[in-house]
Amino acid sequence: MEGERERIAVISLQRLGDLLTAARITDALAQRKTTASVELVHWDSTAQAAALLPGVSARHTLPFGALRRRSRIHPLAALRHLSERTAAIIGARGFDRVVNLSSTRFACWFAPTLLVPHGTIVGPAIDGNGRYYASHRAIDYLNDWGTDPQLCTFAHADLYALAAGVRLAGFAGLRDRAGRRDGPVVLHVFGSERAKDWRTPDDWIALIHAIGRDLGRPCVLVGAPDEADALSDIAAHSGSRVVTSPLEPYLKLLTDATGLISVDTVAIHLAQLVGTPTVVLRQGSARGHAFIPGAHAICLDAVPDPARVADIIAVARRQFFGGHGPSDAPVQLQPGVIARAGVCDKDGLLGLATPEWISAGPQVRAAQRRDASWRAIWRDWFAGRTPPSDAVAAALAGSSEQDAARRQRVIAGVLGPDAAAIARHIGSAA
Amino acid sequence: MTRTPSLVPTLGTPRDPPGNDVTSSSSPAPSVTAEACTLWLFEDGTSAAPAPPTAIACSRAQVSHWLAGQIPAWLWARRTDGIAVLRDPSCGRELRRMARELRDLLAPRTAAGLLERVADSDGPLREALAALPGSSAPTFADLARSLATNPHPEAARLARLAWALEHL
Repeated sequence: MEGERERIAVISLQRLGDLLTAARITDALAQRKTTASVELVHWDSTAQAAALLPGVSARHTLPFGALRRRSRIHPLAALRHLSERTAAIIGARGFDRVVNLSSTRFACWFAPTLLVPHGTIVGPAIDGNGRYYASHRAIDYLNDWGTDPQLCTFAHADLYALAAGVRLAGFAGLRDRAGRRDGPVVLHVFGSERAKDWRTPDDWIALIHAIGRDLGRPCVLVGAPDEADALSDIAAHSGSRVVTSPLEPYLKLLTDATGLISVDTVAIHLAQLVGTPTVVLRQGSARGHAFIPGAHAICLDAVPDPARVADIIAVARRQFFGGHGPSDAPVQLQPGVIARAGVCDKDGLLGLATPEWISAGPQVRAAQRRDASWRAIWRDWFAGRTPPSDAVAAALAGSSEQDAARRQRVIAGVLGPDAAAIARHIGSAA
Repeated sequence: MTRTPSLVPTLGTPRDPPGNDVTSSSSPAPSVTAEACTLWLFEDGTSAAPAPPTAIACSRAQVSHWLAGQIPAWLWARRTDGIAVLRDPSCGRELRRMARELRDLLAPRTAAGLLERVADSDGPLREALAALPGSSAPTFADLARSLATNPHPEAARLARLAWALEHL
């Protein structure tokens, strides 16, 4: 250590969107008085996102594709290169603290190689005997519980931040919007997985017309360069314009935008960094339930069919203009459409909840209360406290039979010895 | 890229092939990317256009010359770093055979072939490879297990990196 100050490596060997969620962690670590420097280790394909993270004094890349190709030649070709890259990252001395934000086995094996002797590893790792270990209970929770959409869910980024000892509520975002929300509505039409895209180009054209008619805003279509032709076709029939730009100009566009409607998670995470109101259109197996975008977004999911234009417009009007929009009455969505907004609790942990301005039945509200009680239980456990057994019993009693069985299994796996006492309590309560 | 002495020498240094019958020809510009040296073999009289952007195009006549024992020093020196031998998928049977032969010569995967490349080093990798059956084609996991038993200070770190690559 430089005096009492630490050289810190943050490993984010993830995709673009995941890497963006590390902004809160790099920012908080850089502001500590005990920090000498925060350096980022990321895949070479995510350089654009890495450049946006605040508080980072050096960015080190690992070449994912090249390592894969070298691996196919012979083991030495890849090992030699990775060894050289590792040595270059370490420099004259290693890191006092390594914060690993990636749960992959590659990252868990790699992370400890950056440490000085007796340095500190934060997050998941694998020890010299091949045993997985986590530095914090929140990481255990993440790996044991996963993201079952029917159960209580935390954002991955929150759990990693918690494990890193970062104050969750302290991050104010990348840019001050200064109250400006008079730009266009930005639409991100295509996601990385076509199966999760929302409807057809004709539906997007209808949505753009509706935004102009009902919200009084022009639209900008954003996408990757290889999507330019498809986006231009939509723009030609809707009077919108197309932008295919790197992330930095995209961030500027979102900073001034009235709002974002997106199926793409990179755009969604980017918008959350600058506080842009967002409507998330999610399809796919999890139907968006397990995706927690941030406090400025609302997820609009439909089971089994995608959301309709009328629902999107109704939610966007409220999300973009708040209580000052044309209507303050509760929004009535068509049956089968689920709307859940990103919320931030008093501890800074993100979650999802049905907003008060959405008409929702008693079942939805009851599920939300159960979710809140489960989050409280897990927060106790993250903080090193055994959750009150009567609270666990009450939460289990309120779950459906199927959920309760799964939750009991997870409790047994995660809480370990504590589970026995809780099980006894549940048994006596029954 | 900066080379740091603490790790690199343990992996061995490139050396000339046995004998002095290597044709010295000028080396293409050294790669500044993470990509390994890639050779693209194509039939004489055809275009090398399908070659990957960073590949070195090699005509059949050139490959034939190399296989006759005239491998240039710059190419031989890159074997430890890894040489990918690719070919035009539309090439004939003879060039496919020559590609296999060149691959076996420049990029063998057997423990014995890999050991030959680090023979000059005294690091843990040479000892780890020497402990493996010579005819086997070691995986990253094989290397990692072998390194894990080595007392050299760098062995544990290399074993970790090998395990990481096993899961890439």
